[in-house]
Parts: sequence; structure tokens; C-alpha cells
Amino acid sequence: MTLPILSLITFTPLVGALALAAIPSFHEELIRRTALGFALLAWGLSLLLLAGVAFGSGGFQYMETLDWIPVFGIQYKLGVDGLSVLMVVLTTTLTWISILASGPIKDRVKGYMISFLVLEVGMIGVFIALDFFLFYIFWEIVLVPMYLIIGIWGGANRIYATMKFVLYTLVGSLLMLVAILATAFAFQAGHGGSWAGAFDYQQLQAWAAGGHFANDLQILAFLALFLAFAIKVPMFPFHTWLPDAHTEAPTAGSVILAGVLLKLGAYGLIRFAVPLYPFAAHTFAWPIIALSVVAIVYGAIVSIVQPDLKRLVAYSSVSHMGFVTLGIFVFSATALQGAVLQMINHGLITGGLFLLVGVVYERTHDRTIAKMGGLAAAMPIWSTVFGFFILASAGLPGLSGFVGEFLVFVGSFGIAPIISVASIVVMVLAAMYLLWMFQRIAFGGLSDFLRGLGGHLTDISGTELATLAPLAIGIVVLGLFPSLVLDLLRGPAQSFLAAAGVAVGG
Amino acid sequence: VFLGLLIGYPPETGLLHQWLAPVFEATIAASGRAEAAYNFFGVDGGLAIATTLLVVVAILVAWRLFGADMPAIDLHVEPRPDRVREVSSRRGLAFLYRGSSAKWWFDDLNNLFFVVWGGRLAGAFWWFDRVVIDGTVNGIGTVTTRAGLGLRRVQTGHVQNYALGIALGLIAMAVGYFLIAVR
Repeated sequence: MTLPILSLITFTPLVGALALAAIPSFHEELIRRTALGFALLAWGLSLLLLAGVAFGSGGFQYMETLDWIPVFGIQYKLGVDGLSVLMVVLTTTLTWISILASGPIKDRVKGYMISFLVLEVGMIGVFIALDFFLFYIFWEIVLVPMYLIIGIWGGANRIYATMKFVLYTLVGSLLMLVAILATAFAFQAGHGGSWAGAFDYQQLQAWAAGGHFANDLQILAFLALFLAFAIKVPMFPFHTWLPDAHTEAPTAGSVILAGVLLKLGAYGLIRFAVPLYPFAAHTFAWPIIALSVVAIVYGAIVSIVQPDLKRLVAYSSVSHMGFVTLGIFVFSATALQGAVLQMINHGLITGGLFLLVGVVYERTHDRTIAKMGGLAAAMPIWSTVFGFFILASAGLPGLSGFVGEFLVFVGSFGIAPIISVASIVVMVLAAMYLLWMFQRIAFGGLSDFLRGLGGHLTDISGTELATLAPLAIGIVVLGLFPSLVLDLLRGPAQSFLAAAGVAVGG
Repeated sequence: VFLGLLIGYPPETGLLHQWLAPVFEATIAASGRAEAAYNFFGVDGGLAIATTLLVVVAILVAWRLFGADMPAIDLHVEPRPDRVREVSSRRGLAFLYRGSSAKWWFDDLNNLFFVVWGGRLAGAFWWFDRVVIDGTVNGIGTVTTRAGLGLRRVQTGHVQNYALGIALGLIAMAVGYFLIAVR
């Protein structure tokens, strides 16, 4: 009997959360160590999974199927392909890094760690669920821990930010539920009233590929799913929850929010929205491409005038995720690979940026850029690492950010050059807001505010560097050897294009 | 200048030409056109002579206007800081002086287009984001809250009001039934 590794990876954090619940709250150090231990265990298992996933195949591996609610054909079905396994590894990596970076959280550590581990269960489950209903359940599981993390351990305006985040995302999710049910009903009607496989992703996809979903259903269901995923990604104009949520969340919360939660939406678009409703996907492709380009440029322009450091990074996330949606909807293999690589890059780079901003926030308890200046003199190691991540975010060739953006440019150029031209402008804009911000906070003379902090302004510590090292290594390795990731994506890209009804070869 | 003469002369067979020839071989083969001959009395020579003359003239003018004393050559021009002020106020030269001093206003143009106007554009986008997009979302929230606050007044707790509600509902149902049944 083969090891059910997917279930193991998904529920290890849950076991960890239960173990933490049993530990009395005053053993703070033990709680931190246990949480980190379980997160590292899940990480190790996901690395084993990565090693085991065969290169180049488009099918799902390590599948586990159990009948759950047979009356409606709902199963507990898990499986991975190249895309899922990359997302799972990203999730587990960022989770243990976030837990390690949660040193500054001082009260109710137990609740915090339990929330994080339950959040990890939800995130991993979303990426590997192959049953539509199960996918929805894991999708919703992600909401409550995030609500708590932002709402309890967040900044000054946290209640507003978390309510906005939860209600906004929930509206989209509920519409998605309607679409899921409508799809299942249509499948059931088409199969003579039998519910078997009505929520099974592979069967639904085969049915959609045969063109059996009516166009009206496709359009409405796609719109509902698109809304849910567009809010999560986030796409313009559904992005306004993001700056508030990112700014008010604690450092580790921002890292997980930017690093993984945004990818849930993009993954949903690639896995569910387009393959199940290809007619609708093609109908709405151009408006969505336009929205993506707007997001890319708009996010970058608004970043320029942000006075708050974390808000600037948050708006830059809107811009970066615009590349992802652009890469998905131009229906080109190159662009899709670029989009997924961009998903991974954004997790690594923006995760790193939030960690670094968190380091400064711990020292200064203020994120206003105008008050800072001369950090390079006071915190030289921090400034060096921050400069590295800034350049990665700006898309410096040689680092992974460039590869992802470049692949999207190349892929979209083949469809319509104007899209590439409009989006390439962002490379200039990204340099503008990032380098100008870096100049203002790191260079020049030490500002009065910072001088007033005196000895409190210590340089980055060993633990904090340990949280950043894996991200930096990933950025450099993927920048020089992107084929490590792109090879895994070849199969899923072919299936995606086949499902979208596009001739392969784009 | 002399180094340039050394490696560039003669223009079609000198060191520089030999060094760079392989770079253009592919282009010459692809376009099918031979390399144009070096035309000393046309564009090529004209450019070389004109630029050299311009440089020499500029050196002489600057030397005359702001020049330093060179005892060995004995030109009777002494170093004078007030020369700058005098030159910059002389009618013909004032514009030239101001222009070259301001680097022909390219920096100011860049500043105007990108920093000032670009900054205003970015500020406008941010205003749009905060007021219009966020305002819409928060507006929906406000409408929902106010609707709830208004509706809660219906719950008066008086049985008479609930009885009135039931009576009104019955009347509405009866009217509706007759309207539909008559059709």
C-alpha cells in the first residue's frame, strides 16, 4: 500500500495545531518550536513530493480517492501535477519561514501558531484538491485563520482591514459556490440524472472538452468563478482590499498573504476557470487581458506616491500579479509558464520584501518613508539584503523576476504586440518606485527620527537572515536555471492549452 | 586625436577597419550591397573636418573669454573670476552662457515631464483608487448597514404591530390572487 503522501502533507499541520492546543499557553518557547517543527516536517514532505513528481507528464500523480458523499458524487480526491507541486512547495516554504519570522509576536502566541498551521492546511488543500466541492471547502478554510491573524495581531487599523478582506473575498467565494453547484447540476443532467463524478475535476474537464456545457451556463459560471478568483489575485478593480490587508497584517501574515493567498486565485483561474468553461474564457479573454495590463501599469504608478513602506510593496503586488493574469489569458504556452514562474517569484520576492520591512518596523514602529533616511549607515547588512530584493522585484536580469516577466512578454507579443509594449513600460515604473524608495530610506544622512531611536536601531539578526536566505537562494537559482521549474510546467501547460481549445504551439 | 589618426588612417585599410570588418560581413552579404567607399570630399571627410574645426573654435573662444594666463605663450589674458559675470551679462553671449550652464534645459524638461507631471498623474490615480474604487466598496457596506439600521425599526415588540403586519399581508395576498386569477 503506497504512502498517502498528499494527505500526509495536507494534515500534518492540522496534527501540529492539535498538538499545540494541548500545550499550556505559558510554554511559549515550546509552542514556537513545536509549530516550527511541524511546519518544517510538512516542508520536508513536500520536497520529497517534488522529487517524486515525474517531469513532463500532464496527468495527475499520487492520487488519492475516497467516496465522501456518494449521494452527490462528492469525493475526497487529491492529486498533483507540475503546477500543484510547485505551489505546495512554495506554501510549505513560506509557512515555516513565516513561523520563524514571528518572533515579534508577544501575546497569545499559541492562538497565532494554531491559526498559521490551520491556514497551511487550507492552502495546501486548495492546490491539490481534485474534487470541486473539496476545493471549495479548502478555499473557505483559508479565510478564518487569516481573519484572526490580521484582526488580532495586526496594526492600528486592523479591524477595518480584516473585515474588508473577509467580506470582499467571501462575496466572491459564495458566487463561486453557486457556479460549482450549477456546473454539477448541468453535468448530472447531461448524464441522465446520475451524480457520479458531478464534482470530479477530471470528469468535468473531459465533459467540458467535449463541449457539453451550454454556452449560457459557461458564461455565467465563468463570470462567477472569475469574480471569486479576480478578487483573490487581486485584479483591478477588485484590488482595494489588498493594500489595507497587507499594511495592517503582522509581518508573517503579510508574507503568507502576499506569498501564497494571492496565488490561490491565479491557480483557480488556471486549473478551474479556463479549462471547464473554454467558450466563456475565450469570450472574455480580451477584456481580462485589458484589465491585466491596467493592473500592471496602474499598480506601478500608484506605488510611486505611497508614503507608507508596506503599502508601497502591497501596490507593487497588484502590479506583479497583473503579469500572472496576463500570462494566463493570452493562451500561449510560453506566457503560461512565465505566469506560473511569476507566481513563484512573487512569493519569494515580495515575501522577502515584507520580511525586510517587518525587520525595520520592529526597530522603528513606523513605516513612513519620509521619516526614514540613512538606514544604510545604521543597518548596513539589512540595506544590502533589501537592495538585493529591490533589484529582484524590479526585474533585474539574472534574477528570477526577469525570467518570469520576460516569458510573459514573449508569449503575449506573439498574440498582440501592443500588449507587450504596454506592459514593458512597467519595467521603468518598477525601477522608479523601488529605487526611489530605496534611495529615500537607505541613503542620505541618518534622519532625525532614526537618530532618536539610538541603540534601538540594531542591524538584522541571525534569525531574520535565516528567514531570508532560502528566498534569496531561490531567486538566484531560478534566475539562472529557470528550466528547473519550466520543465515541470510543460505538461500542465499543454493540458491547459488543450482544454482551452487552443492549438498547441503558441 | 592622434591615436584616432594612428588606428583609423587610411580609412578603408587601417587598423580600425580591419578590426571591425568581420562585424559587418554578414550585413554586407545579406543586403547584397558593397560597403560605401570613404568619401573624403563628401560626407565622411566633411564630418571629420567640421567636427575638428568646431572643437578648435570652441577651445579658442573659451580660452579668449575665460582663459588663463600662460606665461610661456604670453597671451596677456589673466585668470579672472569676474570674467564669468561679465560674459554672462554680455548681450550676445548671455543666452549661450545660460544655456550651456543649464545643460540646455534637458534636466528641467525631464523634471517637468516625469517628476512633476508624472507625480501628479500618480497622485490622481491614487486619489481614484482611494475615493472612487474604495469609496464604491465602502459605500456598498454603508448602504447595507443603513438598510439594516432602518429595517430593525420594524421590530417594535408590540403585538398590535405584528397583527397589523399580518392583516396587511393577507390583504396583499388576496389582491394579488384576484389580479392573477382574473387573467
